[in-house]
Amino acid sequence: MARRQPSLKTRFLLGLLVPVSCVAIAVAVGGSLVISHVVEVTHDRLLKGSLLAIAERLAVDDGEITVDLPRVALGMLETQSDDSIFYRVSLDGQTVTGYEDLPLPRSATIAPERPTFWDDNYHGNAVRIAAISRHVYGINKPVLVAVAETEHARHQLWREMIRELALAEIVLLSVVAVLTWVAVERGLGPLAQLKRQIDRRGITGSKDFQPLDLHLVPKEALAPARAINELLDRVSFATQILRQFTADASHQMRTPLAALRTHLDLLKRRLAGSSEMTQMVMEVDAQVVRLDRMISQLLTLARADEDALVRSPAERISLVTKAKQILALRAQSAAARNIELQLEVEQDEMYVEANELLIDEIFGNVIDNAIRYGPAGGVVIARLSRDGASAVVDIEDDGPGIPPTERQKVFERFYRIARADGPDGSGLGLSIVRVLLDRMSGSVELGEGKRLGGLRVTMRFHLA
Amino acid sequence: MRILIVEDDKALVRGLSASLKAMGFAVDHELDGAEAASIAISEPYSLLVLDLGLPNSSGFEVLRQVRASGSKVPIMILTARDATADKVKGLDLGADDYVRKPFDLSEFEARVRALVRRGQGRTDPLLTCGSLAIDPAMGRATLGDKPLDLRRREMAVLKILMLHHDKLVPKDRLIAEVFGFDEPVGPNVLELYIARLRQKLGADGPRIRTMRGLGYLLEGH
Repeated sequence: MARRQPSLKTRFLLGLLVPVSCVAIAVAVGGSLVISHVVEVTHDRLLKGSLLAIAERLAVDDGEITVDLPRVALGMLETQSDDSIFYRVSLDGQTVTGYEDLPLPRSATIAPERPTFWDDNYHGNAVRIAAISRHVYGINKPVLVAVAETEHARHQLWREMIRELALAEIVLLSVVAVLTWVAVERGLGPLAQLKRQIDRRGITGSKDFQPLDLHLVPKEALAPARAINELLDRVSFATQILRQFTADASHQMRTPLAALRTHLDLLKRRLAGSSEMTQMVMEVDAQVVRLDRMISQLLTLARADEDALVRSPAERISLVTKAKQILALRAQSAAARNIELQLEVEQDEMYVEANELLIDEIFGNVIDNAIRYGPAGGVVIARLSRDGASAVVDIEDDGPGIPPTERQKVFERFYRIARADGPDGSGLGLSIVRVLLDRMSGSVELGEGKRLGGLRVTMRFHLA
Repeated sequence: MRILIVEDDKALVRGLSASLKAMGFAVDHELDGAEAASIAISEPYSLLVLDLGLPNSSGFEVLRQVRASGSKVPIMILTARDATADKVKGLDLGADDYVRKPFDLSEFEARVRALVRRGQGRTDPLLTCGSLAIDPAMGRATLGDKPLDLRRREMAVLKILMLHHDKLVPKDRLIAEVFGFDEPVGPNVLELYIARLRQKLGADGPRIRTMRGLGYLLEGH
């Protein structure tokens, strides 16, 4: 099972809510104790009032104890609840008046004139009993007065207060949770921004290794952000090394290639006449030319990755003029394969701001491809048109085209389509085109030519 | 007609030497930049073929030193670098041509001929003196309508004499221009070539005059 990613929000929430909940529970426990106490004290006071009222009415009449029970004494205890009131006046364990079976205090010694309270059970009902022992003039033994009350009102009051306490706590916890969430959300805002900054780096084709702007990064996130900057720095360095290596290696390879080619040329002169050997030398020669082309393209790529080439001064270039120039330069190689080059201009005078070398390289690669891979005796059409703020250059041939599944792959470096009859390429041409166009915020895509049925390469440039 | 190749890749040097020797040039080779600059200044070369990436000193430095000495020798930069900035720098420092590796051998040879020709202040690719003509591109000499069968070294000597026809060419200069450093030069070897040339030119051709103790002179008419 995959482990869940740790979440800062969850951590903050738990970190705050758990202690707050503990406090809330403590408050609840303490609160319920206090509530029980308050309820007991309040009700005991009422009970005591009734008890004293009855005790006040004790009198001795002919040596007999009488109680003139006042309505008010029991009325004090009447509440909305259906509590029942019981009383008993007894002397020396003998009931004088009231309910005879009302329990007496278990302890026989009740301090005189001090009301005593206890919980008891009467006919299956929980009752609170208050009792007082009183000396009545004329009787030498203390008279015990007891008043009992069932506990419904108490319990009801207790429940209400507890309910309100619980409600208050739930509200408190919810508010804390919501506020925490909002605070965490706001606190983490800069992190989201940091993420966007990081996202912008390393987009395909872009080699933006600029360090992150640390001004808006919160103090707590500074350490990871700095680490990312260091990493970016190292990646940038590594890329630079790789680029430099590619450039150096390509340069170094040119000299042996020059030696190889020189000796081959000398050999060709000696071999004039021997057709089989000449054929073999020609094969070697073709591979030397191919290697040279590959090295040049590697160099172009290494340079395209450098910003220097892209940042080099842009000029206002007429695409139409440029296309004519580049096609003219290819006239010879096209003629060699008996290929007809055509230029169609739907929109005159389209200008782009770009480095001329880049445009040469882009157009050159695509047209060279069309000439190299199109069938001998075929047609290559270059069409210039306009689409909103973009100049569109379509290069179409009547060759076999590229199947849709391969159309993305051919932009990868060194990717070549396996074809039995095609010429050998370097697998770099289209990646150069894409990298350079990316650099110019242009785009390139492959499709099927509507008119010739071969490959159509569509390039878009921002108009100046 | 000597050419100095300043290049550190020996295989390439061997190839270039083979081609240049077949064209009738004497070829010297130097791979150390600092050394190359001093030889280039002191010896009468017709052309300097200069690589930019050299041990000890960059090709640009050699170029600077040679031009600073006032030498007018034609210089061809032959390099793997194809950045425009390098081309501009090389040409501005006084190079006459810039060829990128790898190159087509016949194009290299044509450029060598053109540079040598311009170094001699000529525009006509043909060398002529009376009825004698040499086509350096084809490596062919003709006397009147008849082809003249010359050996490589004979051709080299004759070219120099033709370049300076009607003027005295000192013997040591002739030797310096015809033979490379590593070629053994016997005391009478030049006399031998002159004798053969006189024989081949015969009575109809221009006459080579010996000026004892000084050198040789080709008479135009």
